[in-house]
Amino acid sequence: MNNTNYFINGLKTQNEKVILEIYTNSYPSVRRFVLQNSGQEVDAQDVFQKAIIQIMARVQVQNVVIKSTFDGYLFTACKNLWRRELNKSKRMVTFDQPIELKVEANDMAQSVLEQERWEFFQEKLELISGNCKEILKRFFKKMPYKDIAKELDYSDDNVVRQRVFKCKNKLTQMIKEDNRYNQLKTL
Amino acid sequence: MILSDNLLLQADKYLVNKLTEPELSAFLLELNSNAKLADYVAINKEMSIQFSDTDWQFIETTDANQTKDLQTYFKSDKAIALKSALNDAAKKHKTISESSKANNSRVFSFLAIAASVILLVGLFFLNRTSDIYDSYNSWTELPSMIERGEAKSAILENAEIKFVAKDFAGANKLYTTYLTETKSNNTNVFLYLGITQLELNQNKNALATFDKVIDSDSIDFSKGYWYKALVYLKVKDNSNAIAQLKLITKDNSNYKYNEALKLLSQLE
Repeated sequence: MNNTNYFINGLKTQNEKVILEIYTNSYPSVRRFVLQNSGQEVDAQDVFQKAIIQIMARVQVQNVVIKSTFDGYLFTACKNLWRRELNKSKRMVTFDQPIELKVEANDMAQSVLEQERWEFFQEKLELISGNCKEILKRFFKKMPYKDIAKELDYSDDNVVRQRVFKCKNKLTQMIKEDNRYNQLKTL
Repeated sequence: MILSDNLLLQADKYLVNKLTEPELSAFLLELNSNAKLADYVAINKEMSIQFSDTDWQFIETTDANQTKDLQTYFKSDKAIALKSALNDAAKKHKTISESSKANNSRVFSFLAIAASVILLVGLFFLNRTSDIYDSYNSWTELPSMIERGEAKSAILENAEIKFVAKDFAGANKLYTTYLTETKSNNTNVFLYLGITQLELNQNKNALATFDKVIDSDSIDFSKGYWYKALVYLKVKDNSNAIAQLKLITKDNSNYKYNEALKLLSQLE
């Protein structure tokens, strides 16, 4: 059921029928996600369109190949973009001086590089062994050690602490060994 | 220079803002002069952002070439035309959604016909569906609580021994006892219980148990969709199996995302 090429080609040629199909298939779940996470209808529309344009930039400029379904890839891109927007507004409030608003094209380009880096980290986590992945996913979601112990049936939080330490070191090593890690400076 | 355990502990506390005022001052001094420590803090800080559900890692690129081509695309006529096509589609989609709400009754009749068609298609694929179920019911992907040597309950150990020996009635009794006695919300125990119910043909109970997995706060909640799909495949209810599989394919971080795609292509 890999329909990705169909949708990508439809977007490349601005095929009205295909674009409407994308809206019908994917927009309702993106809308629901944004509304459930402090957003409005207008934000959902904005995120949805930006995500599609960014995906097309990645496909056409960076020759990125989408390995999952178009629907799933678009939904993840929208989720990340909305998370970015929410954090962007937090940063602007927190800073003593509001950060200079970048022009839209520049901001979109930065956002693409950030999405790329996010995918790089997720790719590394997927490569780690099953047990480590399970425990680290919970650790990074800030689940307390005792809750991880309970959910994964470890004898106590000390065992969890030691496992987290070992797994985290393994993951760190894998990330650092990849050249992509040093390619971008984070803020 | 290798970082001492104590320094690593301090660094972990620093990352979650758990250092006292004097500890923090001493740590910051060390951080400024110890490149290895700074490196450890930087990567751990970024991991906690990249793997969180709420934060976002912003980047700063000083190399204009890295963004030049992207910026050129975003300003191009191609991108502007795409944006305009998206705007048009958004308007059309809105009109269609509104008119479809107004025509709910007609949609319901259509759905009734569609449901019958799906049922017929389902009947047609009866044999294939049970083949599919048979290829996914080895249950070997369930995490073993015994193998890790950390199952803290004798009941769970015995339950798993019975489960592996395919004594599903015995395992079912023990998992039920464990959940009643401990009031545990352990997702893995629910998964084991649900499968024993499925194997004992208590299909409604199995669906209810997997719903508890879906409704849990667990990171593994999406496993519930997969096992519900298997219940429906077992009872040859294709349309409900497809609905569960479609829920999995909504997000590529969901459990068995690739398998769900594969199955959908076979079933649809």
